[in-house]
Amino acid sequence: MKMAGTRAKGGEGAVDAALLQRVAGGDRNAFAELYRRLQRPLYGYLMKLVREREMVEDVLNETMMEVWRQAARFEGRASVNTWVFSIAHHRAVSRLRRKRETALDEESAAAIEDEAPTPDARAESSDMNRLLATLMEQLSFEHREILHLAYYQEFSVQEIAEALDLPANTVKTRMFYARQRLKALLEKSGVQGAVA
Amino acid sequence: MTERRNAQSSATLTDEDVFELLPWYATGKTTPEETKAIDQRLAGSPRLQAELAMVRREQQVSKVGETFGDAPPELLNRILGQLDGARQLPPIARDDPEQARGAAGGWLARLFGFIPTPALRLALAIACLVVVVESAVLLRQNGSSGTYETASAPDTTAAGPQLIVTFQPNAGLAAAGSTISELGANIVKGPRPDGAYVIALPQGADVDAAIAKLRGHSDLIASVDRGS
Repeated sequence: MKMAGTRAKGGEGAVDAALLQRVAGGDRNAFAELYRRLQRPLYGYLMKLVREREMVEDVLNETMMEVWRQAARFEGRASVNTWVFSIAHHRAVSRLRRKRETALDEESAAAIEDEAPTPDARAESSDMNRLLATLMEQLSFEHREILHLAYYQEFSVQEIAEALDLPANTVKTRMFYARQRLKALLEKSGVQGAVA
Repeated sequence: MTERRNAQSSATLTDEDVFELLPWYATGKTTPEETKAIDQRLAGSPRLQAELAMVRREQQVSKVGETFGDAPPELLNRILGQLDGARQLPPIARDDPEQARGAAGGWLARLFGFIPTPALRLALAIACLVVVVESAVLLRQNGSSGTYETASAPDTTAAGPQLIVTFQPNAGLAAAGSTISELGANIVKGPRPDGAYVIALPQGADVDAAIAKLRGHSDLIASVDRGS
């Protein structure tokens, strides 16, 4: 499967741009085709962030409706892919805020930290990857998001900066802190030497 | 020459820089120069090698653990069914100053009429509004005391709750600015990639009332959401 980040440039990005241009002219077939091309990475991204299936579908719906409305206003400063992710990000944040389920801030993250697997639990689950996956789920919204965009969607620093409307340096710093948090959770779970 | 430049970039890339870039190095998203510099740094650093191994493990976990598959098939039909009721926004007019001037209207539009797009005119007008409001605050603060204060002095006019606002495509500059002023609000950021602006209300402002008021201007405001 092609990842979103690898499609941003080159042939697939050009196909997305051509489809969006047709969408701007009211072409429903082009819209459906663009949806089919983007729905999988978008769905994965939103599932990672929002977690509730019903809300994920609503946000994906809102995102694509915004793509339909705004298609003619796309100026090509970023790739179509990054632009659509940017819309999805803002819609997801808005939804979560409205529901008062905003990302785990440091306080709530710290509270959850206490629920991190103990060394005993780790002994039961000797699979380091499984432990890592569990701990990744305990990261804050922002940290989960940056890890997902970099590792799963394979976005570059610049693409993430465009999608999240952040300076490139902030993207790198956020990633650094996300990984530090993950290492701290690992240490708490009994994995020695996780923090470099 | 190229080798010297690469050597230079390698030299200017510290271990901490490499540390930060490793997640993108692992996915092949660093520039060729960064990649070469990181290769060189990695070769002589067991610490960075261990870090890269950790990054690769994290990425592997991400790839395996985050496969959510496709969105439900019926979702596309649901979205397609909503297209009829959704107005597509026209492209931003670049070559029709008359149309843009007509949409904006008033002396403010004439003032900013040289700017090629309505969106840019609105953005500039809002930026000017922010400057005017902040200047007024500073003048008021300084006016009575005659003492010097920096522009970073506390401004309580709009340091309160934030809203995310999207203007209608043909929102007039003067009317949009007037609506924001009525709330005592400032534009603090925007336009974002989705065209929205972040507005800060005065401290202690009634957020629900402000949202209701903005929503009442449906001719100017396309959407209002709570911000941070």
